[in-house]
Amino acid sequence: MSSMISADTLVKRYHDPARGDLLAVDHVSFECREGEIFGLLGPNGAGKTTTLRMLATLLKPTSGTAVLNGYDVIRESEKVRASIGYLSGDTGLYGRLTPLETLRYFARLNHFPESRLEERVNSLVREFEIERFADVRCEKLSTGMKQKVSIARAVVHDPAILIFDEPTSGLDILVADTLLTYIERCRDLDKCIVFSTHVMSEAERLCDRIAVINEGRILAVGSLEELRRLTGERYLEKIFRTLLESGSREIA
Amino acid sequence: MKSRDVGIVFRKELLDLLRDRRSILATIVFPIALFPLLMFGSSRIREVGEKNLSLEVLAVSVQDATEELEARLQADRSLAVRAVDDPRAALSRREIFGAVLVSDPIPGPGEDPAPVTILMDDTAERSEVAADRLREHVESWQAELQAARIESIGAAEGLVRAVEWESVNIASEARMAGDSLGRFMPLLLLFLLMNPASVAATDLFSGEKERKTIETLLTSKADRRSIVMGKFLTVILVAVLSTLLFLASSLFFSRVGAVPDDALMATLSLSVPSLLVVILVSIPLAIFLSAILVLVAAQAKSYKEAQTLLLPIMLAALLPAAASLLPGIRIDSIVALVPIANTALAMREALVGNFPVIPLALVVLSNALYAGFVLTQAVSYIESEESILGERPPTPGDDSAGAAREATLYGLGTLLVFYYLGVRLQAADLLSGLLVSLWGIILGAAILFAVVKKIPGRDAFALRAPRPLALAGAVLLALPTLFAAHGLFALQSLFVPVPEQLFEAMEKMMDLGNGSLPLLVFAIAISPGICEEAFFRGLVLGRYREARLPAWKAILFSALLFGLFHLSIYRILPTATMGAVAGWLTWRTRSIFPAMLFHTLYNGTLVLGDTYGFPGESLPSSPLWIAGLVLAAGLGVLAITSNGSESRSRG
Repeated sequence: MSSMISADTLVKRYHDPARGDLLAVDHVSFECREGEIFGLLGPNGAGKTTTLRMLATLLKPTSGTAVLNGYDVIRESEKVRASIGYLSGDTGLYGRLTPLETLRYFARLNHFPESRLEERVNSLVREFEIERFADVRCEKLSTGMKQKVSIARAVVHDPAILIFDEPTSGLDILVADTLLTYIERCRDLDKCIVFSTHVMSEAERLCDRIAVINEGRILAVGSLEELRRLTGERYLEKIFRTLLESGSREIA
Repeated sequence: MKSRDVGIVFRKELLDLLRDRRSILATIVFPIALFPLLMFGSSRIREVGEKNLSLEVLAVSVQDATEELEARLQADRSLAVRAVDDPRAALSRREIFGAVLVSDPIPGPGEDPAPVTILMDDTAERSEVAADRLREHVESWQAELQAARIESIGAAEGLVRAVEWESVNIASEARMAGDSLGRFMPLLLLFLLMNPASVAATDLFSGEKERKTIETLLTSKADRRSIVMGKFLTVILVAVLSTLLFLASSLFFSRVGAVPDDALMATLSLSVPSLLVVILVSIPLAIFLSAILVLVAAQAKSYKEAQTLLLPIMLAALLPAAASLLPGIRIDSIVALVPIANTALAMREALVGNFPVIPLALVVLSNALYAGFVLTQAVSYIESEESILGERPPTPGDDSAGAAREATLYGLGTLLVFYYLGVRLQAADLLSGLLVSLWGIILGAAILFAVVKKIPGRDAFALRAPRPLALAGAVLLALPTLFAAHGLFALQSLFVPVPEQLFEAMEKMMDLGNGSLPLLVFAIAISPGICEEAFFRGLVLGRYREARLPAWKAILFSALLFGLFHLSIYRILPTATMGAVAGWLTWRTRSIFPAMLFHTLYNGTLVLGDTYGFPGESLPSSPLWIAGLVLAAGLGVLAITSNGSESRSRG
């Protein structure tokens, strides 16, 4: 099967009066296949979020493009959005809606067939153990409960592609683990997953391939083994530092 | 945009809002409770006021009264009888609060009864109290006179009536209406429309960012336009609902008699047709204001920021409404085009039972147009990237747009100074006032800006030597522009009649030189040609060009600003037309001098026309004239454009 995500020389340029033109994303290209978890690893401000936002059609690339599930992010943005589930670490919920209402709302907005809607919502409620608080307004839920609802909400329309932007930031260890376990399960369901993080252990645990990104540019792409071979370092932290210092080029 | 998605977002937002206590309060509880509360409040205040008044000694006067009546009034310790020359004037100056006018002498039995007039001013509550007391005295006096006559001659009642009293209210109708609650209804309605709409706009747009739900929403399949429209409909519904609830509640409570004061109610015609008209004019306004509120709320990253931004907007929106409710302002075809004020006035008319069809139609139409415009602006802003992510990535040209804004604001600031200072100076002495305004305020402001901003004069005022052809073009264009502007003015006055005072003011201008033509030409032609051009075409247009505004925008805005400086709504169109041509001249030639020459000739023609009867006043009628003007205009444009491209290639 060909790639589900194909980013082709994506560029995002901002103008900053103080610093002049700023390249937030500088000619980024990568591919991601079904059943694969692709990691974007980089420090804060490296361009991870901007890249993912371009994939999710939230931002328009200054140049270059990306094709997701066969659809172009610029020309077929609506179809792209129907194919993706998007979750970032600081995503919130509508406080005055209940988890059930939230799930139904997003299923409908994503044009999930009405006939299968209740069945789908109920199965997610069971899967994420939301039953107990399915009818409680979201503002009354704990952080962990909210995060479960957020994940269920991101996948309610059963998208082929999942985009996670630092999804574990701000979560306690147990909730983070639930999320990571779920992401692994999605891989088993043959979803295509892009996952950005600056936590090395998460990248090590999950990612089939990792792109190390800094100052808008991809420094290297490969599996953990390939990156180890490339840099001669064992630990991801060291690999990361070596790449940053050498500024070496893509190998995959 | 898909109506299905709009519907999904709309239903969710409605459900969400209805669970918000603030929204319920602002949209439903407050509008319903406001009317009875107001009524209760105002009647309480009245009661307290009247209680105090009943203990007060009130000054009154009697004119030509018989000793008998005067003695009665003197005996009343709650009245102080005073002698005044003109009771009506004294009454409206509030020196007295009532007066009795009696025709002297009292006619005999069988003759017509003598008229007795009680003067009062309905807008003063003391006067109402005083008039009541006077009435009692007159009535008991009348009864006594009658009883005496019946006793002496035994005649029928009609024949023995000695006096017939009537009460006359000296307050004008406008003053009466001014005191009634009706004056405040439009303001209340506007407030009730904006209050819940701003709560909703804040929640639906800024709230989406504060709760960090916006990304999720925008990564759903629904397109942005559908999402924005769904939210928009919610805000509009809330605004309209609140207005409807208030009107329905007013109608209900006034019908069940919760209004304690008949007099208060009389000026408020809460009839069904009135309310329907009020609703009709409110709905486009609700959309317009909702769009503004949404546009503003969408720029805020949080509730707090949204509230900070929205409050001044709401106050600013209430101001034109409040100003329009001052006595003497009535709705006409011009006012009907002024947003917000037009609706307030239309509501006011409708509430007192007037339905002027054409102004009302204009109100609805113009409001619908404004609503459509702001709505598209709001939709396209929200569709843009910066609105989405809360942060606003600066785009190229942002800082230069700031330069354009700065120039516009500086122009408006100078306008204020001109308005407060220049107009006063001109009122004191027209000639010196005019010269000080031009050379001091306008040119002074232009130079001040250049000095403070350290812009070299050459750049600030486009002080470049023009090519001779450019000057020729300016000369050729002066007369055609003058006639075009006059034609537009004449056309405009078909729809908007120009008040006499404007012509009088123009005439006064022409008498400036005290008979000295050179002085007149200097004051009205040369001075404006230099000073106004330096400011509007030199400074303002120059800043716009610096800000890389497109030519049409730069010329239009500077021309409008120039039109505003003439401080008359009737003159904006012709003066802005002239300003646009001058602006175009400067834009093309990159030199201020053609525009200065053009302006001087334009005004000079007006002066000479007035002095020598040159046909500058009337429209050209002969085909030869028109052909000549068109030819001159064509040659002028040609001269400028050929010159313009040369200078551009050089520069």
